[in-house]
Amino acid sequence: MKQVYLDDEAAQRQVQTERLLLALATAFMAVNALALALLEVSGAPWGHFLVWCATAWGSWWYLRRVLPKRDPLLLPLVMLLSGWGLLMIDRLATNFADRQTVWLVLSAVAMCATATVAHLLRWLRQYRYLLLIFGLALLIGTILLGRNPSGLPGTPELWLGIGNVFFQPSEALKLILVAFLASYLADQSLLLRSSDDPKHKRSMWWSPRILGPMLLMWGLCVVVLIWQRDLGTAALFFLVFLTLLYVASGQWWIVASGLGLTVAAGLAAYRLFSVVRLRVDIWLNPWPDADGRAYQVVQSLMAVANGGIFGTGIGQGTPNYIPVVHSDFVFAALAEEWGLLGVLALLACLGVVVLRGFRIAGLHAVRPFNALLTIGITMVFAIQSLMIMGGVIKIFPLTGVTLPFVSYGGSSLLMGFIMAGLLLRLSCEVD
Amino acid sequence: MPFEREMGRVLLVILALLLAVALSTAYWAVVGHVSLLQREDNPRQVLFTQAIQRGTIYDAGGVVLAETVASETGALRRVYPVEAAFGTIGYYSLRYGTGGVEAAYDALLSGSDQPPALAQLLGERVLHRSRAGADIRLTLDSRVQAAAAEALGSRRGAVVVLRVPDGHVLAMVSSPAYDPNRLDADWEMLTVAEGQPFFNRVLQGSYQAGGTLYTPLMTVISLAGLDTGVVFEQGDLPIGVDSLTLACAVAPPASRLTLPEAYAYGCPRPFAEISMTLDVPATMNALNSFQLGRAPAIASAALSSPTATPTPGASATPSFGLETSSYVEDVLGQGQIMANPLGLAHFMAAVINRGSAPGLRLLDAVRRPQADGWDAVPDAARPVPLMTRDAATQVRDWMLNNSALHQLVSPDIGSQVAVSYAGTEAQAWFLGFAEYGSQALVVVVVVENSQDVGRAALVGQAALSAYTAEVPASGSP
Repeated sequence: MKQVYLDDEAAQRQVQTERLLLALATAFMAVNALALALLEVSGAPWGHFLVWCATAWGSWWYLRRVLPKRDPLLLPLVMLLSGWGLLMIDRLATNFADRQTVWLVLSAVAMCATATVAHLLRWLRQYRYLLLIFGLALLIGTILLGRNPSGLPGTPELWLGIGNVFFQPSEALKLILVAFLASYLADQSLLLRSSDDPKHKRSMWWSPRILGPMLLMWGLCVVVLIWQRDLGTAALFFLVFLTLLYVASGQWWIVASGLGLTVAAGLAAYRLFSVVRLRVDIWLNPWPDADGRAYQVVQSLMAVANGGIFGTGIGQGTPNYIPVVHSDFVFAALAEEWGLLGVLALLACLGVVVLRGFRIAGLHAVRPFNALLTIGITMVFAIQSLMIMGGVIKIFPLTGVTLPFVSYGGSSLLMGFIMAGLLLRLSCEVD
Repeated sequence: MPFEREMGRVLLVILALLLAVALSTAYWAVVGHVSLLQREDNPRQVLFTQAIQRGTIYDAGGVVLAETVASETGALRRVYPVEAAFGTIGYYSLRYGTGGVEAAYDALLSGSDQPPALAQLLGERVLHRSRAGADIRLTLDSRVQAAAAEALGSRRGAVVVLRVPDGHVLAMVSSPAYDPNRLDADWEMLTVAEGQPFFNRVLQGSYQAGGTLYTPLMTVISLAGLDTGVVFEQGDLPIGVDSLTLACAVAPPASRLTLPEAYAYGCPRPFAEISMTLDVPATMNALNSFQLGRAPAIASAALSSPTATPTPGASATPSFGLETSSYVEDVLGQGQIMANPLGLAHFMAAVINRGSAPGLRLLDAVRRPQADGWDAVPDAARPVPLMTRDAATQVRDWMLNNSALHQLVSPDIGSQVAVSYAGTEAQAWFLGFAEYGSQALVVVVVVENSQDVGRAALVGQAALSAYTAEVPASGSP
């Protein structure tokens, strides 16, 4: 392993770029916190803003010392998105803002720690089966002991909790599965790409090397869907897996057959599970039931419409008509208060995160594990974002996943930051 | 790099999907937003409407008839201070919409009558200032309105007062009315209330014409050039029409009556007899052409709200006599020809205005937000000739010389009284006018379930007297 060589001037330029971007993010936060404070719609925007500042600049200061050659865009983007999310929670669900601020601090610490641990990547690769067993144990534990923080009957029990502290294991499972698949497929990639012979390719259909993980992932998704009624997580797992399999094997038919399986599973799920049927029906035509089951989706579309191009301004829209707006529908709230321009800015941020992720993956030419891990993490961010944004504006059926870094949710934020920490680490450890 | 090609493809798909999200958001935010935001189930619409600083409604003398006031919490509330104008001004409710004048000039009052200027758009969209509507000044005279409402009291009926020649509507009273300040609380009760308070009798009332038809008939007789000096022996005797017995509205001092005397006392027999000498189709055409049965259009106003108006009851739209109507029944006002208070007043205005019915107007001026002064509303439709000047003058003179009610109404008030019948119910009518130099006022009064024409005359006199008390200074608010 060797560090990328950068001359002093280039390193200095990167530091300046990162500092400038972080300063812009801070300015954005300050202006919006000021607006919130003037409007008096939030309890303590200044306190949360100051904590965010300390977290962002503290992380920058620490990473500058321990990872001087890191990607200069990732940290500002992640901090901007999480700060934007904190503002939204301050504005939409004030009583959750303190808790989210604490999670932000913990997440930033976790990110810095992840980026610092020198052997983490090697451990992730070497102990993949241990990791998988741990992940499956988490899943089984959630099925057996899962609770819902609200305590309301009939709500999904996707959390494990001790006292008042809850954690959603499926968030950790995302990283565990990505690490496992990256490690497994990195080992198999040479074999998967070894021949151009069509006969050999066809025989790969039945190879346990392909069929094994495919069945494992399919089974995992079925378990998540049946026992936890968590359509979003199940779909996310499978799509990330398919992407990694495609990248590792280079075989388009794997994607095609995987998508075929997804469609077949979707049709079966439509018939078997009311939650899936409800989501699809609402997606196809929400208008007849706009006051009932489609209320959330219709209200979110109205919020987007109300925002127009420029938005209403923070604290001046009416996104609270959308139930659970601070979690699943934070994108709609953002569209209402920052308008189309805000949405384009958000998409640009997410797009740049994806681009940087692929760029980092491209730097790991001879380390397929690193490349696949980077792609897997990037795809988790990308697919999860697309699923929830597309669901809110009726491109896809709605799936209850969070918008990375922005939505309310400690587990999601923590795992997002840990994955960002891994990306930062991977951006340094290039060939 | 082993994964370069696949990574490139995956990246392209992700970027394409991000673009799709951007385009879809742009669609809902820019293209499809109008249909979404205007949905009835959009709660934001209510908030937006709630925040509108609705314009104030003034009467011709600057008296506030409706205004929007802010409570201590900043919530806006519509207030109606003049009780006499309740039914006419109507209501503005977030739950039940608008009615009356509030509905007729809703676009002006709410500021949505014209595309917003750039400054207004910026104010609304960027600075979140609430929209402000225009103030409007009506032609109504709250003193006339109050006098008419007070004289009518709790009786069911209607009073309308018009000014000639400008066609200004000075009063429109429909009784019973409702209190728009308590509309949301009283709505359920009002929709089933006896007397149908949402039913605007001035605009929507359609009564059996009865003896009110004698004035148009006198016009037709005058136009036909018949000798009106002929004496009808036993002209005061009642006459049977179908199952009804029609008698004089006011008992005459003698049995021998000329036609103008029969007109003064509202005696039907001479009219039944003289109508037989008239050309039947021409007479019916003339009577129908006066369009007494429906309210004429008031410039740029649709004053009645169909959603808030209950179906008229039997007392307002009687069907008696329709099936058995004959020519005599028609000319005696107990056939197919109906009368609406405003329609009759419009006809009366033509009589006083030398044969031409003036275009009616209720909206006098508009004051835009931040504007310094009032913008006068252009004149209403041009006058419509309904009869010759000579015929109008002759009918006017007959009304002025009507001595039947001189102990009740001032001698300088031209008048006619009448009774009409609908089933078992009767309506007492008063048609009158008073002249003030180049101007004149026309009043039509109908009192339901009553044959007391004297009471109707007193209501009419009260309305006219209120105007003479003091001519209001126009444009004072």
